[in-house]
Amino acid sequence: MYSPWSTASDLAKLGTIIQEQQRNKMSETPVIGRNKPDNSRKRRYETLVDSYYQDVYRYAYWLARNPAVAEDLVQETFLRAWRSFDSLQSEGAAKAWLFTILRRENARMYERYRPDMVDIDDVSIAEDDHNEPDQRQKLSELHEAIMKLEKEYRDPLMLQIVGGFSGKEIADILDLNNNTVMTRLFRARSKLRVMLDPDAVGPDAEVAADDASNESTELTTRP
Amino acid sequence: MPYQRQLLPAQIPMHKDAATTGPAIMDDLEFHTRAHCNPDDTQQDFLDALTGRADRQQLLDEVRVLDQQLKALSASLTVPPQLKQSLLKTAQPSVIKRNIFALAASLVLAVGFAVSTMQYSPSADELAMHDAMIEHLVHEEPRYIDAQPIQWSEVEAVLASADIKLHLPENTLIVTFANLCGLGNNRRAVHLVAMGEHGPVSMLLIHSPPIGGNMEVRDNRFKGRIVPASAGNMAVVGEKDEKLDKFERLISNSVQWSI
Repeated sequence: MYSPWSTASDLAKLGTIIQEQQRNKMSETPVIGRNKPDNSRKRRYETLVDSYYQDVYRYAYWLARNPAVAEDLVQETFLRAWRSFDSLQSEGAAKAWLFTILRRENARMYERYRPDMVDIDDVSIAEDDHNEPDQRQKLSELHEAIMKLEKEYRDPLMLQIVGGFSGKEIADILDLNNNTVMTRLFRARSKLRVMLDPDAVGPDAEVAADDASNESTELTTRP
Repeated sequence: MPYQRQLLPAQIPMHKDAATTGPAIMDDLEFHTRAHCNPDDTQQDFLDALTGRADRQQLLDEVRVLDQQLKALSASLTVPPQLKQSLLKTAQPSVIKRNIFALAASLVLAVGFAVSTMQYSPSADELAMHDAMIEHLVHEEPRYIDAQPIQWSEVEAVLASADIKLHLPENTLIVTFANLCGLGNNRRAVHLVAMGEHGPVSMLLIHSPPIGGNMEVRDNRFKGRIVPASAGNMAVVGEKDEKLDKFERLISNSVQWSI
């Protein structure tokens, strides 16, 4: 019988054999970059990390609302990205690709197990001496308001704010139609403004009141 | 005004013919909505709708201030300082490092084993788990004896179903069988099989209170042992002549239990 890891070199050989077998099985699949040398792949990956890890972490934080979970998610996201790096067809699509992996990992790893709770006290906002106390207070109130915002509104808003994605890109990442995304962005900002200024009157307050009494308006998902 | 509440972004007509009909065509509600959807909207009809309307400019400024605060808040979140280095390590070959760690861990394991076997006597429940495990291995044998290598993603799916993770690079462990089983208390256990020199080697990850010490398998055919882990028990079992320590090291160094 054959031992898979008598030595490290045996292990490496075995890995090569398996990869070769997989390559032969999948030879019809057109994937860009498969035959590029490993160091090129590594350089591209390092560029990807350098460019996006902070944005990915920040979105992970809003998604998970917990810094430790966010860090785990980012680790898992980039590990997945590295493993399937050859499936990235275009560098221009890298950011949306990473955010999509992140959301999938969050759903896979945590959404089933973690109750939907708000960790308002678990804030990891950097102390910035340049901010006046009232500015810090405002940021703290805003943080609390975002945490209280329903997930369906928080998700597209933070994709727009942190990721800088267009409505179409957000629709693709969330698997929603564009109109639904626009509705949620509109409601997200309206609700935040009302939460930050409870005495506000006008359309924002009407949206908040409307949401409190009826959640059914225009929330269609892509079939 | 009920009609305003019903008129959401999806229902607001976009005036693509603004150039021919003039800029005043956008009503207040549409402007309000578009300002909230994207305060950085640069479409001409949106910008035209600001002309001579200080109230609209004020609204847009307010929403833009909100966006600036949101961006400032996100930028102020502390990104863990070691995160980048940790992510870059993903792309580095780590087999040698793993082997060094595995060697160190095995020394600790060997010392721990020597100490624990001198003092440890299994309880009745622990012996029952041992017997159930052997019975399970014999019962499942027809399913894994001639199995072929499976994709690592299948292994991960089974592990995830039992709230267990193995932090192993793909292709490190050639698994031929991965299934859930009923060993342990109330939660699912994982049964993985890899091919050894003398036949299949079973690796079981069982959610149950960690046993008091390492327990050798007592069976006419199999050898192996059950080892307590942080939140469960791990067993590596194979044929009598099989060298199992490398499998045990690999699993014990990479397993992560969810409590």
